[in-house]
Amino acid sequence: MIKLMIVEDNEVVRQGLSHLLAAEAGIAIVADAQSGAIALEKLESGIWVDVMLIDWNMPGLSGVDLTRRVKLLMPHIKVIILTMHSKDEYRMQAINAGASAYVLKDLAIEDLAKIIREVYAKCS
Amino acid sequence: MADKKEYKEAGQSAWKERQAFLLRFSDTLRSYNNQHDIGKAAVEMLAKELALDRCYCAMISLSKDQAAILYQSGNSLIPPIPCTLSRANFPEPLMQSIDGPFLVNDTVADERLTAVDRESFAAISFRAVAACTIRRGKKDPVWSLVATQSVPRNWTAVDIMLLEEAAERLYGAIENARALTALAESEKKYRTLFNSIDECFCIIQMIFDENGKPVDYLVLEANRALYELTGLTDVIGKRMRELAPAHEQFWYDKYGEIALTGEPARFQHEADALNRWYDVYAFPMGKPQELKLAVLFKDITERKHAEKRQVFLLRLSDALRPLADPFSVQNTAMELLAKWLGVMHASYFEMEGDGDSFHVAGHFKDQAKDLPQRMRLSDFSDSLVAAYQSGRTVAVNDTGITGEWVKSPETYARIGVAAWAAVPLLKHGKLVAWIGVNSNKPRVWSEVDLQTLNDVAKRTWDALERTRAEQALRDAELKYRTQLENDVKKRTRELQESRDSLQTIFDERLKAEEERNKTYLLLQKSEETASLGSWEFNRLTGQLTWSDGMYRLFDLNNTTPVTPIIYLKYTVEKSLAKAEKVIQYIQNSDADFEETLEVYISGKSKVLRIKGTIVRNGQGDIERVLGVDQDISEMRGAEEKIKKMEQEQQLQIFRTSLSTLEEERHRISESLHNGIGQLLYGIKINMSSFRHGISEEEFNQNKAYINELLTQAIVETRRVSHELMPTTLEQFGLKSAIDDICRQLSGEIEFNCHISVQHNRLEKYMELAVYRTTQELMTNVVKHAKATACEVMIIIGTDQVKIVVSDNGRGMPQESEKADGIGMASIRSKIELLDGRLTIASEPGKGTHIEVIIPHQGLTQKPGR
Repeated sequence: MIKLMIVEDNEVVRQGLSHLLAAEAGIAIVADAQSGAIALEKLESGIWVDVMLIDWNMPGLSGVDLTRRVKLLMPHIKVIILTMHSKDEYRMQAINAGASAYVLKDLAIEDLAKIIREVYAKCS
Repeated sequence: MADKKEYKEAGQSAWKERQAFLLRFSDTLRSYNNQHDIGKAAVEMLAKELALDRCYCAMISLSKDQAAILYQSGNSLIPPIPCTLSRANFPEPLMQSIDGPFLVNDTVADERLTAVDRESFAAISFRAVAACTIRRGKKDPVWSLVATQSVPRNWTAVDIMLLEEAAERLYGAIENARALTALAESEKKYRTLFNSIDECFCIIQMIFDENGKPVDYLVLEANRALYELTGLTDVIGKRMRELAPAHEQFWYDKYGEIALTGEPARFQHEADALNRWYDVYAFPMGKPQELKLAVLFKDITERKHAEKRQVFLLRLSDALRPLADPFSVQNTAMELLAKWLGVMHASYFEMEGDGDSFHVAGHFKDQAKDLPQRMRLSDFSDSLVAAYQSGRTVAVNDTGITGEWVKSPETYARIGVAAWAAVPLLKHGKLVAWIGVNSNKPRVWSEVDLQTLNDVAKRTWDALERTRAEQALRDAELKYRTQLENDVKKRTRELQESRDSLQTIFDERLKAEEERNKTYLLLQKSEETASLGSWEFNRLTGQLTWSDGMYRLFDLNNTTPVTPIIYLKYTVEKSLAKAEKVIQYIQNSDADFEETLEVYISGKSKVLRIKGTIVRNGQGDIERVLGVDQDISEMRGAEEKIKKMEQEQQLQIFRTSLSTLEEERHRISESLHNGIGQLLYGIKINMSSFRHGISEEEFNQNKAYINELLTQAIVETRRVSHELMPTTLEQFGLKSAIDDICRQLSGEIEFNCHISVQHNRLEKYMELAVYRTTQELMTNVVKHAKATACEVMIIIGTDQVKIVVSDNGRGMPQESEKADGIGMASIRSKIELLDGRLTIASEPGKGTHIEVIIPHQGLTQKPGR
């Protein structure tokens, strides 16, 4: 079971993703957060997370910054950046920060679940 | 000496005869007082009685070794003996005979005589000589009675006895007569002296009482001076107490002391009873027990009074000398005078201008009534006025007695004046003042009193004259000093004015000179600074004159001769045509001109702008051309720089605009991405829930949720659209547009918006700028401030717009401002492009206050629709 944490400031998106991905096989939503700071707090509280789905554009810690910190603190966690920006510069920036995947916010839930599994499978 | 008894016995009868002669002889001698009469009578009687040829008596002076024949009588048988005989003429035996007479019966036969003696006797016809000599002591002959005969004679004893007796009696008679004569002479001398001395002399005898106290004296003798001085007529034998009962005891005591002690005394003392001062010398006289005194004295009253008067006058002078005003002089003089004289009034009267009136100018009174202060001469008797006017001193000893000056004793009695005296003062023969003194009791005015009055009057007048002169001098001095001071002041003022005037002229000249120099320097400086030079071309002489600036422009020594052709020398190839044109203008143009030349001077390219102005004379003929050459190379450079700056500014504006555009795009992008995009993504995700096997209830829930999300998406789309183009602003104006923002952004933060449009509506670009600025500031509050309330105020004034956004949020730390300042910097740069300014006041925890001021000019539209 892949333990997933969703970090998204937009509540509609966060709740929609939580609701739909929870229904996907092999994926368990262990936590969600509306900002990077809260996400870090939850990680430090001892929750085991395998994959983090992080929005690029958030107030405070941006998705890339959060990725950098998560990979520094808990390198086993795989990060998938979720964004509306399609440019390669953004992608490269995310990859350089340690993200395992860069996903545009236009994917269907099934595809997203698939990527989550791949990312999880690759690193394991 | 012959024994008289023997002689008597020898010739008794003859002696008797001679005795009768001697009685006659003595009687005769006694009848004479004069020794000479006695001597003459004696020798005559003897010569006759003894039948002598010559009889004489001689006084022998041993010291002179001669004999003086005093008296002689005889006949012609023996001639008169010379008055003086040398002693040598006398035979020694004569001189030596001590015990008895010297007798020579016959000078020829007497053996005692020497031949010389005989010859001497023969020479004077002496044949018989009998001499009786009276000697002093035992030896020295002093006087001799000599009887002589021209024939030999036997001198008888009776002869000799008679001669001796006669000699004795004659000597006695003569001596007695001489003594009496001497006494009479002495008495005469004493009397003469006694009476001739001016001083009084008297001999008194003191009288003491039983206690030994001197109580009186008896006047025994007095000289004429005493009578004259005292006025007494009979004082001899009188007692002093009778003569002057009030004579002070001092005198008795003093004389008594001298009588008792025998010590003479000299003293001066006043005899009050006699109103006299005496200088006395008294000395004891006679036997002490007689208590007699000789008193020599003189009256020194006048001298004493004169001394006192002198002392008084000196005191008066001393008192008056320091006084400076006439009033003090008069009063002081009168006070001193009154006190010295012991009178009740002393007044100094001064005549007035009318020659009749007079007033009391100075006065002193001693417990007396006041005198009238002003009187008239015409009220006095003519004689008194005449006396005054003639300068005569007038004195009345007793006003109770009618006299020349006293017509009405009653009048004097009424004013209590019993005696008076006055001394008039004349000046140039005219009565000017007088001093008057009044006594309340009759008084005999002494000479001293009157003299003192005169002296006081004179000295007072002198002092007055002095003070008046001094006063006049002071006045004159003051006047002249004032005059002088005024003159000096006036002159000083004139000089000052003159100097000021000169100074002003000088200053003006100096100023003008300075101005000229300054102008010249300024011109030089201007020429130097502005890199220009001026020139003048004289059309008549064809002479070109350059200023220093011109020489500097062309880098030439200022003595270098110049002509218009010089432009050709320095102008670069491409400007040569222009240079020729300039030369043409200078030499021939009748209108002002301006040209620009590119020149090459000292290795540097320059651009010269040449301006020429035509100067004409009164007839309108062209005389000169004045011109200015300016190096506008730098100006050109500056212009280029300005152009560059303008370009840079344009670029900056472009960049800012671009940046703004980018920001705008970014914002829109963000809006689309985070807003609409996210919503659409949310919808898309939720659409994934419509899968097979979904329950109807779940389907309906999802459908409702997706509807809601779609509504949100529509609203967001509208908002973005609105942001992109605020149609409210376009259609309803700034106020409505700002209200819209407030409405849109109000939620967690309560925005309170105020907009004050004082005048006309702003120009469109300005409205948009105000709108966008406000919108961005408010959006920043929403995004970053974490505030709960925000005041927004927009004031559109006549020449500026003020936007104030003030929140109560977390504040904006400086570093945070920098960090988050990209947005704020963007706002600031846009405002600066509009010449506005932005200020931020913020403290952590205390909110942020942002103020924006943008100037504007546009007043083209009326406010609000």
